[in-house]
Amino acid sequence: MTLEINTVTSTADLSAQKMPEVPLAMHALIQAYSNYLSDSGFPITVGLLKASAQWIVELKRLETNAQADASTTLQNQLKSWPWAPPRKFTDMEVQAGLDQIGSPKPAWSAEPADDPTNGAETFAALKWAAWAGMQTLRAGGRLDGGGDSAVLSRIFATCKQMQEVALRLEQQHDPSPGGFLGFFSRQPKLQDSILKSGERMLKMMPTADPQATETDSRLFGGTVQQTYESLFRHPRPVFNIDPDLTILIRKAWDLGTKSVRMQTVLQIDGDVSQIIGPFNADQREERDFLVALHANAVKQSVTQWRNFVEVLGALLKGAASFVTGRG
Amino acid sequence: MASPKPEAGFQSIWHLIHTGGLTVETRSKTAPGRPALQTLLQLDGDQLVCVDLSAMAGLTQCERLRLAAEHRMQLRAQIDALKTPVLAVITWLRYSSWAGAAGLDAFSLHGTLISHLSFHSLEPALGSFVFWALPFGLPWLLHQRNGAFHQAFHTEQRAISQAIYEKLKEKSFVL
Repeated sequence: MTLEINTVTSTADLSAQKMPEVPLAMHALIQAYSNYLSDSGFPITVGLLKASAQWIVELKRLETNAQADASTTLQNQLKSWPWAPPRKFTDMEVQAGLDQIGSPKPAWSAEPADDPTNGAETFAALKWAAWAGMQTLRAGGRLDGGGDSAVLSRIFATCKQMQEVALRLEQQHDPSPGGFLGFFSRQPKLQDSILKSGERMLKMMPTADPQATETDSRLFGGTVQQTYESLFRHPRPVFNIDPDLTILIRKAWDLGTKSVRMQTVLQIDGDVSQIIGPFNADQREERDFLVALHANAVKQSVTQWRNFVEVLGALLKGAASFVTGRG
Repeated sequence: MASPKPEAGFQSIWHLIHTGGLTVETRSKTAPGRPALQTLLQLDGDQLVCVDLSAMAGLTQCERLRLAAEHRMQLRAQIDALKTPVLAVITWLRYSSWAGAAGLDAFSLHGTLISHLSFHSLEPALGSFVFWALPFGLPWLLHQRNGAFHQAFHTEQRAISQAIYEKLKEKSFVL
């Protein structure tokens, strides 16, 4: 159990907004990451999304059939995606046998993906775009828009987890059976879509019929419009999302692409770690201001934590008295 | 109908602790159109302080620190204002957990009933009735098993009602 206090700076407008419903928070996160990567020179394209969808399908096939290893070839293609400059490859990447580097690629569409879904393929595509940015910086390249390696690493790490989370949520909310069985199912009908996650992903693959896109409403694996339609229908959907997944999404949503300048982590056993970002010599006033702000935030959080532990203690005490009958 | 999961009540508490929180923003006089400081404080104590230094351009260091102090006071006021409803929710959770220990998991039962009543469009009004009646009906049901529990619930409810009344009175919501 830890207490984490972050002080971040942002150049974008701060919006004092609480996190929206999970499917919409996923869309907002995708938008924030996508904008940042696009500003750094790595925009998400339709081709990248399709390749990512195919890669996920192949990965899942690999889990059931060890022979089918098409995913490795696809992964190499995604790692060496033909981004326009500033993409640079590290010596390690070249030596690691990314034989696709410099060789012609399949005809993936370079059209920008204006309306991505909140499905696993979008997070995979963002992950590979962040990877390209990180490798370019390692190779000594410079990014447009001042792409920061810490933010790129965060996007990469978060999208790696979010890819699995999105897949799990989509499978968890796959269409429930209709008719007599549907009546007794705990999963109410939340969306018009009748496609299960795997079927939707197959439709996205480059080999699929280009016209075969889904337009029905769906909460997960849908575009913003499809998610809105599903979310604001009557009766309103009730999700059952595991707390750990909600926490993961909330943390990612909170931080977005902001730069963390100071971080304090307190462990319940008393261990404390503090990380303070670099400041230039001419940023003394800024540093002093942020230190004062951060110190107060730590104090406030510790007080809040103490109250929280007291409440938990009272709850346990109450429960114990009830069980033992000595209340 | 699937049977209620016994851990659902605790899961709901865990969920609330980690996702519930408050947001406070403060604007500077030089850029009143957008927030300069924003704090997200979770119930579990995790905190995120966002600073938009460009929204504070033109302020002296002293004015910045004064803005930070003002922001802290706003946060403190929010926490104080939250105490009473949080206390009420915690009490509700507490009794729900106890009900769970007695064999009735209020959260699961709730979720199951609500989803079946409203999603199958049998009668949404009935769904609403169950939603509100269940937490207050449970103590009555339990009274049949344990008179002391019933007594404790009502004593605590009275105290909370009084605290809410006092708080509203302080804020001049009650004449």
